Amino acid sequence: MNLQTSLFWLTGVVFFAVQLGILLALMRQSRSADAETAANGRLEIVWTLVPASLIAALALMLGGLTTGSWTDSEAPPRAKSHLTLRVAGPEDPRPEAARP
Amino acid sequence: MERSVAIEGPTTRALDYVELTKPRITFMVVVTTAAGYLLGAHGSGSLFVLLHTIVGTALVASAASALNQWVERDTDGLMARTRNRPLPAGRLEPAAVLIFGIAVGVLGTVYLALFVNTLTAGLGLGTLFLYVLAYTPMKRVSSLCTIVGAVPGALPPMMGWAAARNDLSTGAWVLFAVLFLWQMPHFLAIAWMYRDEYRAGGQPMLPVLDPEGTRTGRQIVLYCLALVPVSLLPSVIGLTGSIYFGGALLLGLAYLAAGIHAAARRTTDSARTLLRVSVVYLPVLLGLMAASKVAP
Repeated sequence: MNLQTSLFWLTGVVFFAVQLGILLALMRQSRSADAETAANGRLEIVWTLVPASLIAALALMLGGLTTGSWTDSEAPPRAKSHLTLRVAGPEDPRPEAARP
Repeated sequence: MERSVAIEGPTTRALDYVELTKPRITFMVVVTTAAGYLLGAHGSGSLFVLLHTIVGTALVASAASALNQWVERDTDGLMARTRNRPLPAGRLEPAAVLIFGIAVGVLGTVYLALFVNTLTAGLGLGTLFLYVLAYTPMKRVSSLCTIVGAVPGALPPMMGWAAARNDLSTGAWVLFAVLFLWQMPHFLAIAWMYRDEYRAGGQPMLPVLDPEGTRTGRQIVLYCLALVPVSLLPSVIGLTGSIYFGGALLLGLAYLAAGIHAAARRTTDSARTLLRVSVVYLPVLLGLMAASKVAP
């Protein structure tokens, strides 16, 4: 694993660790006796889950691209026009079965 | 006794229409779109396609801003920050603004469909709908509007990519994720700075529900943290090189530092610093992205 990939994974792990910590604290808050704290705690859980969900979706999408190439984008744009070839010449004298 | 009289004429009327389009925001939207195009294009792409994309996107973004101000003309009047906008200040008529917004939105969408491609036009229309019909009404209902609003804010770079490639492959989604996550600390900083006004305007932004600022600060730090690895992805997937990687890491750490500072201090000044850092972060990051492209 090169430096870039290592740093990338490190920053990702730090994010997930902090996110997990926040989530656990908020889940405790959402069970609070004070109704407002509980409600705002539940709301903040939604806020907290959004970046992780986004990153998880990206991870799923990127699952096949661990080599660093992006094969789904390598194909050139589809040509807008078609090329029709009309071949002129004498008819093929060979019987049909013998033709390629 | 002196009295000042506002003299209205065609020039001031035109300037009011320009103000409706929120030119600074429209400009940033266009910059993110151009970055998406340059990143998605094979080689340096086509200047004509890029220009058409910019024009169409600017029209759609302008329409979104105008229609947003039409919807919010009453609440804008309740907040000092927005009281002097053309509609609450009475310089333009609501009906005229509605027609203007719809016309410019239709023009921008059709322009993109004709001169770029239908995918980009569709994304533009989606941006418009989400901003005006989802985010704007939600502002009166829930703090989650900020999250919903970050979606149309993150579509323009996808529009640029779609204009270049006519697809929505991985690079487009990485750009979406970077822009989505970037917006959160940016808008939370604004909401913190103007929390009293949002409360007066009846808009339950997160800082309005959270007068201590603890939740707002926590979410600012979380989204800055998420942005660091995501902003490194363009290099990880082979789209950009080492210069971008190093630059994105440094920028991300600076943004995170400003976020932590704002969360710790919870003052308007620290929020303003975070806002300023966010406004420098984005164009520098996108510039590095375009300059450090390694893909064919």
